[in-house]
Amino acid sequence: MAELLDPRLVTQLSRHQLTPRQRVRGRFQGAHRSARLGASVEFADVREYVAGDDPRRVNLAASRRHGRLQVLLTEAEDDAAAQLVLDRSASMHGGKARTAARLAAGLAVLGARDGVRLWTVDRATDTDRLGGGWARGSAALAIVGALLRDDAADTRERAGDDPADGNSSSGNGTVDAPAGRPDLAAAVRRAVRTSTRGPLIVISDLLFGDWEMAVMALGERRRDALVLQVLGRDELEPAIADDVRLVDVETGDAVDVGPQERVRERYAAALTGHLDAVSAACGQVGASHLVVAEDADLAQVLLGELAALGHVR
Amino acid sequence: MTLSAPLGLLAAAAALPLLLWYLLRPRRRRVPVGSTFLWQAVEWPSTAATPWQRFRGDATFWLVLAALLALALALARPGVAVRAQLGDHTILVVDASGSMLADEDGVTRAELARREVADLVDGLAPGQEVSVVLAGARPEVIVSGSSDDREVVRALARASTGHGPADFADALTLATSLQRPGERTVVHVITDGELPGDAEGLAPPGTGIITVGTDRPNVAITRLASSAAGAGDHRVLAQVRSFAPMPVTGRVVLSVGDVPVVEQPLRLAPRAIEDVVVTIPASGGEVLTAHLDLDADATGEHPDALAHDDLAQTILADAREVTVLVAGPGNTFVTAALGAVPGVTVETAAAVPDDLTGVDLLVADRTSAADPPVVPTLYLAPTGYPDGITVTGTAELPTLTYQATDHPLLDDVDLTGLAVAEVAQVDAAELTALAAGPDGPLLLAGRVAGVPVVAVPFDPMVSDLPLRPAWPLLVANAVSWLTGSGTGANALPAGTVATLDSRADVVRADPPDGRDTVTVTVPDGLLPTLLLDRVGIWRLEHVGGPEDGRVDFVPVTPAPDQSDLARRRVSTDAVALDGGPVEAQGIASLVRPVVAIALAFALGEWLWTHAVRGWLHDRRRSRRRRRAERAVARVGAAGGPSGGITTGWLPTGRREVG
Repeated sequence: MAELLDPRLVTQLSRHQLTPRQRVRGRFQGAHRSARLGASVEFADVREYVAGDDPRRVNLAASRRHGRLQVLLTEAEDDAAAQLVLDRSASMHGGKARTAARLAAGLAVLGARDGVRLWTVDRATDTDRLGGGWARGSAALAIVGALLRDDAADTRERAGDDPADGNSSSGNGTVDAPAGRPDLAAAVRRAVRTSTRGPLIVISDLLFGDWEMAVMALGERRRDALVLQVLGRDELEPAIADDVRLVDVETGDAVDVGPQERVRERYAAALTGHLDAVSAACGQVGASHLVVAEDADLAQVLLGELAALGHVR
Repeated sequence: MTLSAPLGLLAAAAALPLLLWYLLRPRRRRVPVGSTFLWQAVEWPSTAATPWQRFRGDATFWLVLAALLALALALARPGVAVRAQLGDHTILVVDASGSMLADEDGVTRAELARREVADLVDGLAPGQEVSVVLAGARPEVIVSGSSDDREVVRALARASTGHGPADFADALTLATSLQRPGERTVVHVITDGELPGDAEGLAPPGTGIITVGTDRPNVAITRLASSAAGAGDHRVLAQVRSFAPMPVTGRVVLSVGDVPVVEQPLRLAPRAIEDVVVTIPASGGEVLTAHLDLDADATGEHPDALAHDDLAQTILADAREVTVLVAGPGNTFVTAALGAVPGVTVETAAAVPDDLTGVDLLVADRTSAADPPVVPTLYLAPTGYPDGITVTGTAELPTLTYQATDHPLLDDVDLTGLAVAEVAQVDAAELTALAAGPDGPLLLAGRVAGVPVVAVPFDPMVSDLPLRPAWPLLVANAVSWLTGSGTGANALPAGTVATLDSRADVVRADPPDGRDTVTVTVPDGLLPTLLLDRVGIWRLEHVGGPEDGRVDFVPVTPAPDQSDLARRRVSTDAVALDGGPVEAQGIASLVRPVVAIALAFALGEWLWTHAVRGWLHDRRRSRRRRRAERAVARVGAAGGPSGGITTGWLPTGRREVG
């Protein structure tokens, strides 16, 4: 997977792990604090001995204090398989698509120990497509790479696009039929309703009208959620040098803009307002929000920012 | 709908350049982007052009096109046919008398008349014309054959309403003269009452009457007179008349100059008259002003709809000693009546002496006087008249059928029922008969050889005149009129066309309300006339000629017949002068509504460009946000992450990496 991640980064990532920021209630024994009692060494409570208890768990000090035999209770440790919802719509083209794919690959490496369920959502020929699969263990990176390649090839085949470009435009200023906007909220809702209790990560640019629905879907269950909002450099700092007509590759909407200072100021205000709104919405559902530029340092994002947010240790 | 100016539709051709402009609008380079979500609120049209792009008729184009077409329609002056009391030539006689200044809930009757005219001419169809005769004290044609309704309205707005009566007889004669053969002429009179009797006969057949106003209460000063009472005092008569149907209280304030000297309370019964007679200390030549100050009635309103008749002014006369020589066999009634006039010294003689030096007034009682007269003379059945007055016979028991009402000699003098045994029938071309019967004049006044004279062609001793209350008044008025002393300047009612006794080249008259000076050129050999149509003191300055620099002051009082605002009003439809009914179709103009629609479209285009588009975008975003917040609330209610969990859900904030 050299095309996605540098081997040195993979080595570095393999020393870390995606971790939930809350107790989990997993199906299998793992390495994360569970909401249940179990057999770890972490003290949880004491209770009176009853017949059948393991005599090795009798706590003499507690028994002396209570005057009756007391046994020690410890916390359980469960697995916390992560889920990754990757927006692969037409708007996530070019550098954004590559950065999103690399983020997904890096997160697969970080979550390889417990496993990562990858959900890819895109739209072709007027149909939403939800793909992906599980990646676990030492082959997680390779599996994710394969899933992303297969998914992209299938999408291009269905849409008939040029594989070199990565979006539905012909690249010469003319735009073919709009690619359409997949329902990211439905994909998130699908992921939320699975029995997998680990972190739920959404990678998208959230530059569409119903982005709130996708964020709100994260809050339907008590999920430990993270929103990675990937934005292109031309979206963070647009360079409009002439009067142009911007055409949305997903909806076909056209907007006439010019190089005026007022345009720049109003766009900057709109961008700030949008990011604030996304951040506030994430806060309301208890999700973390991280804006990732398409040319961001991946190691800094995965090992610096996510660790600071408590998602990686 | 009809179009008065169909060529105005050619303006719709401006839609072609508009379409071309939209076709030639800048063709922008199309740049595909991942999302235009954030750009929606930023859209900024530009002017760089790549010609002949495909037509895209957005909302602004259709709005501008609609505004353009509406303007083109307005230029074509659209209208709809309506029934209107208009003919080929419509003559409007508009009342401009003083009563039209009455207040009707905040507007004057004159303004109501203007509105009636505006409504009438609003339906003026192409080919129809309107003339307007302003019926004031001196009627005039202010619009002659105009087909422009706005010109009519503007002319009426410029016309001023005087304080005098309207001369409808002259106005209707003028209106009749405007009729043109071959045209269907319709005459409307817009007034606040009925036509006077003398005018009804002159009204063209079928004249329509449009009445304005309602019966309004009013109180007026109908008379203000003064006379020198000697010792620096003046006797003042102020007559106040109520035209209100309810009792009225208030006060009349008399001022000399600007200083109030008397305030007399008033308590007037409905439609009653009260004479206020007071003696005030004042010197001659000062301006005496009487002003009404009325109390509000129970409803808080003042029972006074007409303002200009609440004030009257006159000029106090200088006290002057007059010597009167009574020549004749002797008459106690004459000498007693003369002796009662303040400032008069009476001397008697059996005959008229040759030297009349020191005599201000000669009374020729049953004797012959000098021919021609050399001093002002009162002839009482003289045995001989000067040249210009000839006796043609005598008549016994003459009856009085006419008495002048507007001559100062007969102020307050009532000769009704006068009994005379015998009267001389005189013929005097230079004198005016002030009282007369079928057998000839009973009282004459005028000038003979430039000297004022009054002639009574019967012997008062063979009549009941000396026994009447009118006698001392007539004698006092005769002294005043003949010598010009004793009483104040003769006040004239508003609307009087005064004959100016001037031998100057030009007379400049300054109206009391500060309007522009009226300049009257004195014609050769004739006396000039001046219309006094405003209440107050007129200042007349004589310029040029032998009387250069002479200044006269003429007090003008309210016209007595204009203060009664309760009148019978009967509106009638007009009939064309040819006898046929008025069935003409007028045109109600739609220009203003269409222009308003055009402006609304233009405003809509501006709002769409500058406000609505951004507002719609913001509204869509707000709606989405509210929907999301509701979803969050539902999640919270179900025990979700925002439900107060303190562990496991860490506070988050936006972090940016890049």
